[in-house]
Amino acid sequence: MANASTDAKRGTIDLAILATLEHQDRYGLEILTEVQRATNGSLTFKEGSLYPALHRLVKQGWVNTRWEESDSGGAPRKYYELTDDGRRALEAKRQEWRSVRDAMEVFLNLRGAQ
Amino acid sequence: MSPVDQYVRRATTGLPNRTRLDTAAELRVHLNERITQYVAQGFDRAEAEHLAVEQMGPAEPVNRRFLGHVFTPRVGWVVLGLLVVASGGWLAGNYLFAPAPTVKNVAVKAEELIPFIGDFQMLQLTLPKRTKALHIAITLGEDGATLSGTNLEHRYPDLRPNQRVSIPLGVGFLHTALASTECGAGNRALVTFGSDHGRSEMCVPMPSEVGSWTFLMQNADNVMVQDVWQPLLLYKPSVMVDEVPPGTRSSWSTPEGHAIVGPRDTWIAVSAFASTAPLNDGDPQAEYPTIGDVVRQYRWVEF
Repeated sequence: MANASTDAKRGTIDLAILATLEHQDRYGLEILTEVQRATNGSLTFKEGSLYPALHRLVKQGWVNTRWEESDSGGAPRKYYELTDDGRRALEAKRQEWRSVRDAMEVFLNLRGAQ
Repeated sequence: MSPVDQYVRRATTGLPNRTRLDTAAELRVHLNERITQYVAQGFDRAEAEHLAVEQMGPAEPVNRRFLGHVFTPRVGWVVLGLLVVASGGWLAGNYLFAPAPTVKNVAVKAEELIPFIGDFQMLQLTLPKRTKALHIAITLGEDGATLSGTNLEHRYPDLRPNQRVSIPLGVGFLHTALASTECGAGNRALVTFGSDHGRSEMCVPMPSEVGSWTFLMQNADNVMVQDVWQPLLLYKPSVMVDEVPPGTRSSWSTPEGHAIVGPRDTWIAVSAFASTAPLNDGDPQAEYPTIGDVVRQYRWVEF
């Protein structure tokens, strides 16, 4: 599977982060690892760009943070947790994504059939 | 400074202190975990640090996104510096090194002399700041033919302060064949020429009487709009310039005086033609200003 384009990545990073936090609180590197694992590495981005995106989501009230001791004995980690608003935003973005995906599929199939 | 320290500093610079510390700690934890992973894979510490930082991507875009705008501190300082330099240049150009207000006599092109027989003069003006209107008086010996121009904003809508402009101002006696009016015996057609007035002819006795003068005002009828114009100065035929006392309005249509009026920031430039034989019986008056002299400059005075 080809890597998604830069624009697509930029447009989907918020959705990917929110979806990653849907069932479990995670810290930065864990979010990154989970996104790459779940997408078989097709959705990759520079690791540094994760943190500004997380900050943006915190600012929007979709995500809360807390520092927690590392279970592996390392330095404390900053965990991210989806808020109720974040869950609603995730649902809205998910619907929006599906609508776009369905529309594009119809469009591309029609074009392909011509 | 280690690559990790450098990255963290660049990525978090400019953030509010509390946010910066929190973000720096988070980035450092991330990088240290990555370094641990790389070391476990067999890389040495320096290589692992390098790879971990490389994996993060450039720090500057991250910093911009943290700040929420495109101005990183470095870009901000550069922009601020450019603004300071530009402002300084503007101030220097407009104030420190601004050309001094002057009236200068400049060469007249041959074709500009064609309608005239007699004197003709071209002035180049450098106007003071905020100049909105201009009056120019040209005298011809003691008999003083006077030409007044005014209202620069109307005449030169694009004119800027400190800008040099060349304003053709001329006066002379037309050859009879060229005069559009018959002046009769003993009279000649005096023509005055100003850039916005076009030409104006009038018959004057020759030689002209002491105190006679001609002038052009803002409109062709020589009518002053009293609601707009306020009396400012009194030009006497002898070019003595008196300020009109506050609250008074000079009589402008008498042979004794010519009221020059103008709005705020009027600049008065008085220049003079050299007196020459055909125009004047007498000798050039020593007390008259020489060509191109700025006799006086006045700002409009509120009554």
